[in-house]
Amino acid sequence: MTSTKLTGLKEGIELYEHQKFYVKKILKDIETTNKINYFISLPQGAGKTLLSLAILSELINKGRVEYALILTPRRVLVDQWIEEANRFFYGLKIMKDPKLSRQNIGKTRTLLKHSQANAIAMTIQAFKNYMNKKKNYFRERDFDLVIIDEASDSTLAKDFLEKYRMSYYLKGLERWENIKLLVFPKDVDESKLENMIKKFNEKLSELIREEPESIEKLQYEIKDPIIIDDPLVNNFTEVLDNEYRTIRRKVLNLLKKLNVNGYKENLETLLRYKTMQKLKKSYGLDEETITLIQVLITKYILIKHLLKWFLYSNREELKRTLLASQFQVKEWLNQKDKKLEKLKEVVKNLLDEGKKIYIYSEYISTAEMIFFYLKENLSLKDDEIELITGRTEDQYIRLDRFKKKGKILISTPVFDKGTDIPEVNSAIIFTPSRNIERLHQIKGRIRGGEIITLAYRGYEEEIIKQIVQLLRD
Amino acid sequence: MIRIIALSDIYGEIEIINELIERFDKKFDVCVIAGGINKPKEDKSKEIFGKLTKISEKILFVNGGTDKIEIEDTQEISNLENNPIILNKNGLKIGFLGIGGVPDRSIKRKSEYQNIWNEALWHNKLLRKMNVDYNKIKIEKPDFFFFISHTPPYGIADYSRKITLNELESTQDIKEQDIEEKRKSTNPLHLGSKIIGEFVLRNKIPLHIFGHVHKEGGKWIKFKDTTFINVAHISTLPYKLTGRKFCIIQIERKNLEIEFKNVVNPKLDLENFLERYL
Repeated sequence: MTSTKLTGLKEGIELYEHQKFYVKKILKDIETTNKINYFISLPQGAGKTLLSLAILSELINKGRVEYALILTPRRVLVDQWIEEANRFFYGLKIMKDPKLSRQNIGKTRTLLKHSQANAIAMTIQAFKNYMNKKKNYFRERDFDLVIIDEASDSTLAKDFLEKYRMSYYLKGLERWENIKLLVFPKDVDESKLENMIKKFNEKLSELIREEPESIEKLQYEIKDPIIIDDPLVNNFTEVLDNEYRTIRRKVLNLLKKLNVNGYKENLETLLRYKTMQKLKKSYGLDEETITLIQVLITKYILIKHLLKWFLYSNREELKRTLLASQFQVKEWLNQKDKKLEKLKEVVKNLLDEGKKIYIYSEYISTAEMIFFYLKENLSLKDDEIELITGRTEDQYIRLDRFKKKGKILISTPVFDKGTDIPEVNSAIIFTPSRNIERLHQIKGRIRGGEIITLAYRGYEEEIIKQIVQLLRD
Repeated sequence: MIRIIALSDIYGEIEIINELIERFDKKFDVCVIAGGINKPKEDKSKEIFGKLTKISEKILFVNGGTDKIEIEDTQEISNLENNPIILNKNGLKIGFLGIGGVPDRSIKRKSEYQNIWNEALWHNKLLRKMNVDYNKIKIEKPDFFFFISHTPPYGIADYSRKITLNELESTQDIKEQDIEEKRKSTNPLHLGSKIIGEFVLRNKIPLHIFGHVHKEGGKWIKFKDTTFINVAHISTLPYKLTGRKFCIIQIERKNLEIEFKNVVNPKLDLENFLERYL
């Protein structure tokens, strides 16, 4: 018998029990309650994308949804949503950010109808640009459902940069009255989640967070950090860290003296022109004091960068700074990089064991450096090592190539959320984040396996040991 | 052997030049200045040249975007934009030629600059001038050619955000992710000149020295037949961390030795070093 449904799972594909349960629950809630915002916070591997697509598919069949908007924090995820819809569903077509001309403003529904698509998928950055530059380009009434993938990244966070991102990206989307599915991992910070729900109106929101038993528990081996002896780096990092703390304290004391409150946790905002103008008015600060505060903040940010460059082998940047002339730094720059050498050794051993490796770096320059260093020093062929950063054009193609043929994948946060690499056996965190949520996201990219960290003996060793403990907890 | 000191983007900072000349007892054969000598509407070139003649037998310069130095060439000081120069010393013959100014698309606020040109409109004129100069010295069959410009060739050590001269403040040191939206929106671009790139590569000039793009200063890149050196910047601003920089080039027969140095006291321990220079 032929199915009369417009869309559905392809033959031979079935949802997991927990996915079926949540699809049923959310569909029932939509029918019987006034809730419109569904916060789906499930562990890695729960199949959140498939679950959301199944809900979309059912709502289309019920005639409740005609068109949907899918927003993701990164480009690579847009491709992933489209690929999953094609792979698992019939009759479900998602089109990529259509880049319409001005003539088509207000004709989103027409466009979707003509292209026979059920949804448009785009990055939240692209959405923000449309909302800024082409007002009314995407209107509430053009869609019946909005899915925000990795929503914790696009909506709310504690620190100033991400908080800033929240209002920057959403553009009032939180007040739209259509159904919204906000998808994010289980390890998202509690207070962040609470604030997010508040922002979307808690009376209209439902949180789905219990861990289903049917989800396979993944086995991770969080190894003790590999310790590297380099007394010079240890000396530099201790001096820089000390300097960083001293300058920060100076700024805080200065602000205290001036009775300026509320900036302790996010001093960097004081570099913003608007914030300083506000302070000038409210506290009567003069230009000289403002310049002094800004120079001090700039100085400690610079010191923070230098610290990272020393820890993460960014010799190219260091060589171009005036520090390269300081006698100890000069001596260090003339030596081989012990951390990179150790990394090479670790990678070689893992390759000999036939393992597939994922190397994570927070910074593009470090990721690029590791890529070229390993490629040259381990004589790797083009298809054996892949680099994916924000500068990489064909991210999805490279990821696919890695999954099929590659041995080593090096990437930055462009790739740390939502995209899984279950093929990987070992993840090496080269530049660890101190943010627990991000650490778990990096870990969650691989479906079990070993997590490896490297640290210089002394100052960095203590930090990495704490990070390892956080990952184990 | 010939010893050359190359620098750019001084912006009238006499103190840094004083610190520089204190470092050397022995004179260089040539001091190359790749533009950026003055701040706008301020001419300290005579004072700067006067000081630099203490450490170099000859000064060869080109104007930067903020310069309009019009002086007669002397035995000691020559503007390469007026005439190319042949240096015949220690058994080596080196031809120097150069071009000053900056393309208008590489700067943010045109009113601050007095020496700018449009790449499209000036293409033929500039290329012709460079070719004439090149042919003038080519007849002399030098062992080496040096090309000096303020602007980098397009695509080589020229990637940066545009800044205004008013932004010559230390906050510029901070990386993109730490600064406010307004600044962030000025995306980095290739700020170099396509005309200069075309000339250098077509004529296989062995060495090209330039400045202008501060963020890329300290890079030297071998591409095709040319070694490109961005010598920016000796001024302490806009980037404290990458400033105080100059380059020493030694030529012996056909060999080139390139080394970047900083006008700092290298013997200070790290703590005092940071305190003194950041």
